[in-house]
Amino acid sequence: MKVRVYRYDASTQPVGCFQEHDVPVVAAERWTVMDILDYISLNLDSGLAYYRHSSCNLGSCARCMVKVNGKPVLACAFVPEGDEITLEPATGDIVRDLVIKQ
Amino acid sequence: MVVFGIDRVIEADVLVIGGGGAAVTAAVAASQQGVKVVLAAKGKAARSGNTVMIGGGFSLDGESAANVCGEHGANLTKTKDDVFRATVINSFYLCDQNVVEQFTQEAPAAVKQLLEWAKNAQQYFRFNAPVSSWSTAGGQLSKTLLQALKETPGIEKHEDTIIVDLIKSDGAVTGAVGVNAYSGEIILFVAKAVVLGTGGYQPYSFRNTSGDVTGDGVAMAYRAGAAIANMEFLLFLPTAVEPKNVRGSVIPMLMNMPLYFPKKIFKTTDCHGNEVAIPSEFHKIPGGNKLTRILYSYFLGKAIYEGYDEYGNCMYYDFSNSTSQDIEEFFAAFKQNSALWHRPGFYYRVDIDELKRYVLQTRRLKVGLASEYSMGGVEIDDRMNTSIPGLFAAGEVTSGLFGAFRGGDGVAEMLTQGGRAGKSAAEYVKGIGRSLPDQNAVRGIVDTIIAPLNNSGEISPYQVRRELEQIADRGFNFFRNEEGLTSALDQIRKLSQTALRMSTVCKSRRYNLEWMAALAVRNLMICTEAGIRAALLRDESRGTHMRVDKPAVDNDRWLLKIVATQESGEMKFATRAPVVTRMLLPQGKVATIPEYILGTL
Repeated sequence: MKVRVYRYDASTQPVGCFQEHDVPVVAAERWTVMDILDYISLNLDSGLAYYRHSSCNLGSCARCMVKVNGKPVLACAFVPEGDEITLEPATGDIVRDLVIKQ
Repeated sequence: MVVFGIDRVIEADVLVIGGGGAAVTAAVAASQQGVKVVLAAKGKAARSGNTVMIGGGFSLDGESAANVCGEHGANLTKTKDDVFRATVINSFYLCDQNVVEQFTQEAPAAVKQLLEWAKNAQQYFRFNAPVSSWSTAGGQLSKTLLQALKETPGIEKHEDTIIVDLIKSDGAVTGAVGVNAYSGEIILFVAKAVVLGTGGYQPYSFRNTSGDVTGDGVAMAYRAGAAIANMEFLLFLPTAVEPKNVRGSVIPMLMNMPLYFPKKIFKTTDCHGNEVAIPSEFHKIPGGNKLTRILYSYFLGKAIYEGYDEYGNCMYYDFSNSTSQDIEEFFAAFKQNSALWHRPGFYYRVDIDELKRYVLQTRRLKVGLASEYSMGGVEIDDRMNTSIPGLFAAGEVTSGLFGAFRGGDGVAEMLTQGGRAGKSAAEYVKGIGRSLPDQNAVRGIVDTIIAPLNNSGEISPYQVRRELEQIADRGFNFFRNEEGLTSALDQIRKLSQTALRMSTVCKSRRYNLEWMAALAVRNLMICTEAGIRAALLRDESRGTHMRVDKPAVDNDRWLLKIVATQESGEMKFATRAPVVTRMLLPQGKVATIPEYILGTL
């Protein structure tokens, strides 16, 4: 799956941009957005910021909201389909990359 | 106050650390005593840690459920003495009985208080009269604890704040240093007493808990000189491996429980399709007896253990002999039962119909054993004092109540101990002044915090965490032996050295996950080393500690708690007998853990 991820850091990357990764998502395994982000973070770019500290990963704490192709979803519960997705922060109040103030 | 490297200073009488039920109830209880309370939570207060993931409920003796909590029809034959006895027996006699006394005596008031907050928050916990228990899901509990905070406006909350280390002055704990996850600010908390409500530890790659269960409080207490104990005991439960969007769910555990899935329609097999089962003599154990949880690890775990090198942590629930109608009914019943606690059609994030369709299509579910609770932690007494002045602890971070196996309720534990810890801390701070922190100690902690940002090199905190998980997976899982533990210890010692050079790729302080991982893995490493070394010392099997090379429960040699403390930078071990108040410790040897369990009936 081609995954486009929004990157932003007020100090080093003040103008947001998209980074593209190829992630070996297997459709039958039902990868969630969180699985995809974990894969990128652990294997491709450990500098990526997405809501993960103190996350339940069970759809309960509801703090991992991101936009997938423009639509807000819980990263830990949503299974994206298709060959290409775009991940963006859920609101414009960005701390870094996909993480918003909450 | 200007202190090197510190961006902000917060003052409190009592600093409570943690985001779940133990921390919230401690903060509320301390605040009710009129002292200034600051609550520092790693995530959102009342919405972080494992409290939000609770899948079962909590219980009391029947008399208290009826007379204290006003539940009609509570089973009066279940007495306080029964709760006491069950907790002690289920702990394989490794609990401290004074802590169990506090639990049985004070749980009724703690539960009553919880039910009042729940009512005010319009949350309803279903009461199951025959077993005097209330069912609840994490979301409900979370809303209830938020209500408790709302009703206690004096508590100053600092959320998304990762406490890194405790500070001591003249031998007593007088504060802590932490980092704000979003801003990266380093914050000094100056307090007269600190309460830990930070939860347990979980070192494996496959988990059914929050990924954050990194033993922060246990490790902080240890580094501050407090004694920690029972670190070799971790409780495992059947947990979904695939599909990935169900991975980590304990639905496979619930599939064995008639309360959720009334009719059992699958068999459990190893990766070759050979059936594994819990022998029929154990079927007489009542469904409510939590000791059955050890049997899952013992009997089903064999299927995983024997094929581990080839298949990893994997077995199957096989539905191939079930008809489509069986499967439809199986999930329809679960959907109905689950809806009493969860949003209709779902169990947490799992869409029950979608899981049903997956099972209908594949006729099997890939399952593993994942750790859901660590019995070990900070040593406490019945007032929630730790072994160092000014430091109190409550809930899963402690080690006194459940010994070798948690055979009672974790929810009741956190509420009862949280309330007591808050009261004890509030009493302690009356009449003592605030000490200024030792500047060198603070500077040392700040240096540790920022080291991964200053270091350069190839050692990623993620890589260290992954290696740590692999070491625990291989050598320190539900079955253990001397060879595996020795090798795990050797590897973890090497990894501890490597970890000193951890460096983040991104050097920003703003929401830097890799930085947070570095701070957490340091704690997880200490807990795991303590666990591995205690598991090596304990050359017997007891509770959830199952040594394949030492299968007997050896009461003559091992009715002892293994206690670790830090002395001159080294981890030192000692043993002590558990505290006995009324149930004498048994003697003799029992050949295996299942035999011990049969003997308790």
